Amino acid sequence: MFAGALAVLFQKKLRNAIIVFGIVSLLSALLFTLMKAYDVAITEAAIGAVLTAALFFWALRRLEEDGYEEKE
Amino acid sequence: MKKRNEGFISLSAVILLAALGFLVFSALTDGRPGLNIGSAPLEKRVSFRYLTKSVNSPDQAEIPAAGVEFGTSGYENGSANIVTSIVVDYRVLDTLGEILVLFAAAGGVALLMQERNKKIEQEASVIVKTAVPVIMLFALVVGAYIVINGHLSPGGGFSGGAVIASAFILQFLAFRKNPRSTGFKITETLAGLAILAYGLIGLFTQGSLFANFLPTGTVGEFLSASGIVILYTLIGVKVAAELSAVSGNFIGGEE
Repeated sequence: MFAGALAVLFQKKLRNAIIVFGIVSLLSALLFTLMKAYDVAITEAAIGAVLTAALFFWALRRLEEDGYEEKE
Repeated sequence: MKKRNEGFISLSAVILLAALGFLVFSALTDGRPGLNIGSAPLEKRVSFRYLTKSVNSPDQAEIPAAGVEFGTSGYENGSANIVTSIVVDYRVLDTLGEILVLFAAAGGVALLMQERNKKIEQEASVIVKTAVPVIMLFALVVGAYIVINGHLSPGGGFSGGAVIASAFILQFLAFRKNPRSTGFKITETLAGLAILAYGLIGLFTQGSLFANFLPTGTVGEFLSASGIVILYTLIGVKVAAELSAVSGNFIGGEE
């Protein structure tokens, strides 16, 4: 999980970074479940993995509409 | 770039920091009973009682005096879920602050995204359009369950509201339908006002803000802890409407 959190920073493409970020959120939800903090796990899975990732994707799309291009 | 009020802003920042520092310092060093952090032994503090409250049988509970069995009636707020009873009853003022923070964030997004109203050309694929109604139904049911069952099982207004909002996001993604509807804003406003009204009723009937004024029922039954259920349902509706409105603002599309 920590390796994934670091990997988010070093992704070349923003799109890949968002996907890795969602995976890190899911893993931390799993970690919260193992620590028996089910409340936090539900919130993390819903907000971290779904809402934030969706909003990031839409923000990226807005950037692309405005002429931003990903580095190859 | 030099701003007009820069000196005034820096001065007020310094004054605020000094006041904060003084408060922290006096809380650490004040000798009067009850004010100093180290003055009361751990067992006599309120937080200790919150944390050791347990629905296990008394001989299994770590502190026997704090054990509450299922089936006890009229006990404090009547919630079997300890996290929920802390969040929505004992420390409800913090939750009120949390709601206000979310409200401010939603307002900021709405302000920034006002101008963007481009039409989206791309259509969603057939797979998405077919699957989304089914998934949305499940997400709505699960979200409502998490919200309503918050006093018995893990979950509650914030997490359930987020699940419901994710269902609406799916709807936006699949059908590109008027996501910036005023319905969300009206729902959110009404729920926020209802939360404040609930707190004020507690203030006028019981003497303190958000005091429990409804019957608490039996610990462990579905129809118990009515205050917590009502408050968490309102919070869930507000959070769902807010997050849906935020994502609607991001997605844009036609009005």
